[in-house]
Amino acid sequence: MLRSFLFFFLLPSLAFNQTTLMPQVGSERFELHQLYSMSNGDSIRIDQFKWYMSTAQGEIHLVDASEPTSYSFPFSSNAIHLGLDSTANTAGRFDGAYDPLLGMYWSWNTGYIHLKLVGCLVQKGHQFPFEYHIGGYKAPFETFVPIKIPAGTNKILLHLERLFVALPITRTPNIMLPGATAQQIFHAFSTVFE
Amino acid sequence: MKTWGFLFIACLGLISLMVLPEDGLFYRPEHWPAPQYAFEKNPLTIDGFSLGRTLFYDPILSTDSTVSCASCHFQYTAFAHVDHPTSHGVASRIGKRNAPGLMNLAWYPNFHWDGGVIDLNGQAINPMTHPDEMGSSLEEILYKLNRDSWYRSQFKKVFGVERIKTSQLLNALAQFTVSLVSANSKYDSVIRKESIFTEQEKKGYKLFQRHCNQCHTEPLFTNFKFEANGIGPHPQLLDSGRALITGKAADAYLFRVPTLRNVEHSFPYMHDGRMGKLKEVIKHYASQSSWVKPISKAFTNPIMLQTDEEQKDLLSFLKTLTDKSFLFNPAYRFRNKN
Repeated sequence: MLRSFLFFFLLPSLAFNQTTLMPQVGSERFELHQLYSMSNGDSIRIDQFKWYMSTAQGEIHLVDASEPTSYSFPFSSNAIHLGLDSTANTAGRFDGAYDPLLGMYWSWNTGYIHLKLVGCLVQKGHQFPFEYHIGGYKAPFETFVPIKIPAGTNKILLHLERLFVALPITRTPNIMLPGATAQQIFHAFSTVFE
Repeated sequence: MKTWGFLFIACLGLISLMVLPEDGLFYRPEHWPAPQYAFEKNPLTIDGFSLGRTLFYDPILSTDSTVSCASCHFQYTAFAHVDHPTSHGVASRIGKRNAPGLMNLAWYPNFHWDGGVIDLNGQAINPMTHPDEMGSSLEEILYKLNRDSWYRSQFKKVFGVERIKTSQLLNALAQFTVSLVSANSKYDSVIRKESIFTEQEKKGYKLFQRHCNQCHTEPLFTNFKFEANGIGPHPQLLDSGRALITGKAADAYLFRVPTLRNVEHSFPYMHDGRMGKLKEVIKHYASQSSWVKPISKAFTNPIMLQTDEEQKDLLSFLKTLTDKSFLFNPAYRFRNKN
């Protein structure tokens, strides 16, 4: 009796706190491969967009814009981080969301890409392709930032334009290593969550 | 009845003691430090070890099924690539670094000449997917393995899975590679007081302790650190070594201190395999005036191997690090699938 009580009432409220991300550009819903005009006059198209989110309880989740079901995930806590901590990076696990098959594992310099963002900027008629593999778990270039989630809601809006206008695409179109610029991009990403 | 039962169990115990060293599974030699490998995450079994061995020798892991791990890691040369300064992979593409010998990997805190890989399981992804090595991808390898009924049944037996995934592939390979323990050279038997050095070896050991042991530290014969030993950057390969991993200028041209176990057989030497003979290596360390910068602090005390005699003595000691029971251990050899 007690067990069924626990199962039906306590367990869902404890564990299955569904978080749903709602990415958008301006007032439009975000989609891959669409060209978006931004307020600064440039346009941007994103072709790959994947990132890790995690909790202090050791849960990790890979969001992949090419699989919109990945926008919803069950985290047991509202204290969510963008990126992975050093424990997750060095766990030596290769299953589930840790699987290098997911294209987020740096095999030659152990660690995970925390944010993969690939696309093309259009500025004054010129195209600027870019490829960002952003990660790092060693000081001073960690990419691991807590995000604020409004109390009483599991739905999180992502104002992606804040990230897109902050990308240093014309100056640094490719990043494949941890570093200061990678960290700045990652911090810009953390400001899109609301 | 009880006595018989006890005797039976005691006999079983004795038999297992006699059999164990031959099954090839990992063991920790006496007086060695605790290994780094997380065995609790990948408990070794004989079946897992055999599966890893089959994978190690199977070219199925390369994109055109021509190259296996063993193509560049021969057992008889301590799993190094004999006579190849740097190795060739699929389509005869040449890599940038010398294929290191594989032994005592359980004690390494990190892997590769630059130490970029911190996990033995994850290490295998590099050669399998590098375009100059096996040129494949995890998708391709898992597809091929899952199509193969023998591999499916073996992975099911070892890991209880219907479909082979990345983690089981890496665990299986590591069960074999982590078990490659070399600790039975003449040097080891002298340490165990089962044998004695010749006069020349004894002199060589003294020279070794004075001049080499700081980096090539016993009993693993490496301190696992990264140093610049005065050979200078390779003019074509432009490989900056450890700095590629740390991003620190001070780490430019530093490479791993390799183990000296089985060094007699694991030629050529240095991270780019530029020296073919052990004599050449010793001569290099003895010829301080011809060293090229950068040079690590470890080399600030002059290396005193002035006479040919001393160099010969050191060489004779280094040969006592050859472990024939490792190089010819039947448990590490290729076997047909069964």
